[in-house]
Amino acid sequence: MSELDRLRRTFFDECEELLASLQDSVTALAAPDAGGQHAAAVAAAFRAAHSIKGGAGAFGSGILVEVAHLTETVLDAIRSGRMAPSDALVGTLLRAGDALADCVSADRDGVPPPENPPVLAELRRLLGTPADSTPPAAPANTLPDFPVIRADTAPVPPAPPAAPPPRVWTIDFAPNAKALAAGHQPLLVLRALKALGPLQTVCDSSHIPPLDALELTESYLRWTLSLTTDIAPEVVAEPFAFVAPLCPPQITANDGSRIGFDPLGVGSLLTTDSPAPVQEVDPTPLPEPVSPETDPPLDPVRPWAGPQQAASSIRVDVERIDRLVNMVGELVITQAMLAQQAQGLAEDRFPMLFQGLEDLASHTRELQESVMAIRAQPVKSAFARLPRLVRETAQALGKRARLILIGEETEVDKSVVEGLSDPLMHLIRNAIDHGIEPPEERRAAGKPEDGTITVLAEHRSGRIVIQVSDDGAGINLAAIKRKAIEQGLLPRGADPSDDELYELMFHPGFSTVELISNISGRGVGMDVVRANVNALGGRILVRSYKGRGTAFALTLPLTLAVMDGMLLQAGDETYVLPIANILESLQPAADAIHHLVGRGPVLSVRGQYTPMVDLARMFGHRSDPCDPTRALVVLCEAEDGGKVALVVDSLIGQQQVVIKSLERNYGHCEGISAATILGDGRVALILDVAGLRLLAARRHRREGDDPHG
Amino acid sequence: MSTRVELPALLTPGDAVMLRNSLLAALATSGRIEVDASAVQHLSVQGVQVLLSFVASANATAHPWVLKAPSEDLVAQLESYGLFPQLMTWPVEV
Repeated sequence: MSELDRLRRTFFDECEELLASLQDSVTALAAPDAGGQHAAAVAAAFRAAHSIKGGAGAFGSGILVEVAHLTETVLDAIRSGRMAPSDALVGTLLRAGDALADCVSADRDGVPPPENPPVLAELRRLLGTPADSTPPAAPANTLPDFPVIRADTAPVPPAPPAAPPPRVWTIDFAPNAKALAAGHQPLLVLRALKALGPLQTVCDSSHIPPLDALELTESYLRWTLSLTTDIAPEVVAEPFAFVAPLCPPQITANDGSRIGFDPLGVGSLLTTDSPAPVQEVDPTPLPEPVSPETDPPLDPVRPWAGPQQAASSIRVDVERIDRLVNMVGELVITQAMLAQQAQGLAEDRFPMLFQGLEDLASHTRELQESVMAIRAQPVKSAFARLPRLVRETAQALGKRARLILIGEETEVDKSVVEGLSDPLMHLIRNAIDHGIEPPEERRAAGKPEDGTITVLAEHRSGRIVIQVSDDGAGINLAAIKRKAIEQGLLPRGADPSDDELYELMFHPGFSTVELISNISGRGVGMDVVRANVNALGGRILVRSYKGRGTAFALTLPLTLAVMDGMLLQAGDETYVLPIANILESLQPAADAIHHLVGRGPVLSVRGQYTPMVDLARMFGHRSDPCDPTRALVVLCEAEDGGKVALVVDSLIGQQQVVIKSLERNYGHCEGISAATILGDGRVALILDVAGLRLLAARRHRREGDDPHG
Repeated sequence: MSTRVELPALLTPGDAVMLRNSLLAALATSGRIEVDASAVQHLSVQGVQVLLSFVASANATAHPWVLKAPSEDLVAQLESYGLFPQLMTWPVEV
């Protein structure tokens, strides 16, 4: 590779970051300008466009230079106040970012870049470039009008509105300990506000400490509320009349009005002021989001934190890190092999050997965790496109939706982050398209016209959970059941559980037009989402509350490389059970085993019944039933809380195992999540507890009751 | 062995103290914790904080737990508190 090639490669790598920064910054312009966020965002976007232009010029990428230059010029106009950011303008800048990405991609692949991308005309029109230098304009109806304020022309006065539109009040309410001690209950305030108009309520619970550190007199919650109403400010303030002297809320409206409280008085209204609105002409105005004066800890539209500070870091090829990960995987296998070889030796005769093996195990684990930490990335990068996706999808569908992102800094393996992008986008589109109701329906249901999509990421039980939830109509299970019977997926008279009905949504081609209108069309493409999540070693859990919303929770491994497992013997085969799934192991007495009609054998443990699965029989290693009272039962719990009792011959021992994807190398196997290589070179399959539970339930239904499971 | 903790019908600030103690004791055991929410009619903010704190503790230690049969009032009030997205992440047995 020549020096020039290396420089070009570095430039393309940098372009990816610059384009991401450009998109992030431009998207921030769509949010209300709280605390000077717009100025910082415009500056960051300008820097990104300028850097791309500079690099592109050095490598002679003409069209790239031109798009970057016009983008930079528009951003400069915003920076200097000659243009005001509007929804349409943000759309153009985002399209400019897309065009830049296309040009970069073409340059990198050595193919001709797109000639005269349509966004050039939009940018030129914005800048008022003379007609003779303007390429053919796009059809007039495809170009939105922009709220342009030019220094050399008089602003166009807005047409008088037919009726005053309702204000959108943003309320930042953080009750303190004094308020709680005085007996104030936020629920009463929230209910009183809800009675005034559609209310969106976002609660920031991130400051809640662990239970042993919880001070019951303290207040840890904070609310950001969005109230749409045309009633007088005094009435909006009323619910806070008593609590305001102790903890005055911040209340601002989208027209600049503010409600203040007299800190020395009894919470009386202090001021309301309505500065003249900014003169903007936008033929299709979108609901203007609002923001409190101070930065809330959980802004409904995610406060833009400014460009990332340059960290002390080096750029390393992912390939090199992957090689390192593979080598660590081999080291884990070698360590397991040595440990197995040493099992036949007397520890007291070879104390140094055993000490060395122990140290090797410890160092291998540390090395593995360190390497995994290198590959760990915040899920933020998978979330980066979502604000734009929500905005554009909602616009296209004539709906109103906003996005709440929680836990963006949660870290997970790079490959998981990359694999998340498509399923997330699909779920978001589905949520807006089929979950969130049209504004008029929401209004009729007493909901705010703006639907809320919440994407939450958190670590749980050694896995990462990504949840996409909406506050839409929820899933109509009766419609799913009816459709499934029509399509022959369920027998008439079947009595499936909610989970089994949700499962049908992932059946390829299950959804129909009729179903879309009735159950929000959740089946469309969901089989693809699940396939993607399965490929990452994860699963999808669904929960829905009628009229309140639906949540899809993707539970995924933190890493696709190594895990802690328990080796089990079932027949002649060795299986690996993830340690995180094991509750306990026991040898049951005969009277602890019962048979439930249609459910097969169940194990009674301290009054709880858990379905039993004879592992060797389940996978066809043995046809004779195993006597559980002579074998061993491992009680397991899946991520969804469902339990299963696995009947095995013995427990071999605990060890780290290297995960080898079955999906990639073979195909999906129900009840099996992956494979591994044992210390003696044999391949062992890694069990998927939730999958085993479903598999066993289906077999019992299909084969009828079998006293032996 | 599972531990069952019943939420009272009226989860007042005073009841939040007892609930906190019950949940702390439950977290000290190794088995699954079943939080029976079938009777809840009113949820004070102190009670909400105890519940959220319990969930954070259980998740941090991977302690198995489940919210059993949440009452309609509980769901509606968590929704009013703006905590519906959080509720959606909790393991629930109806």
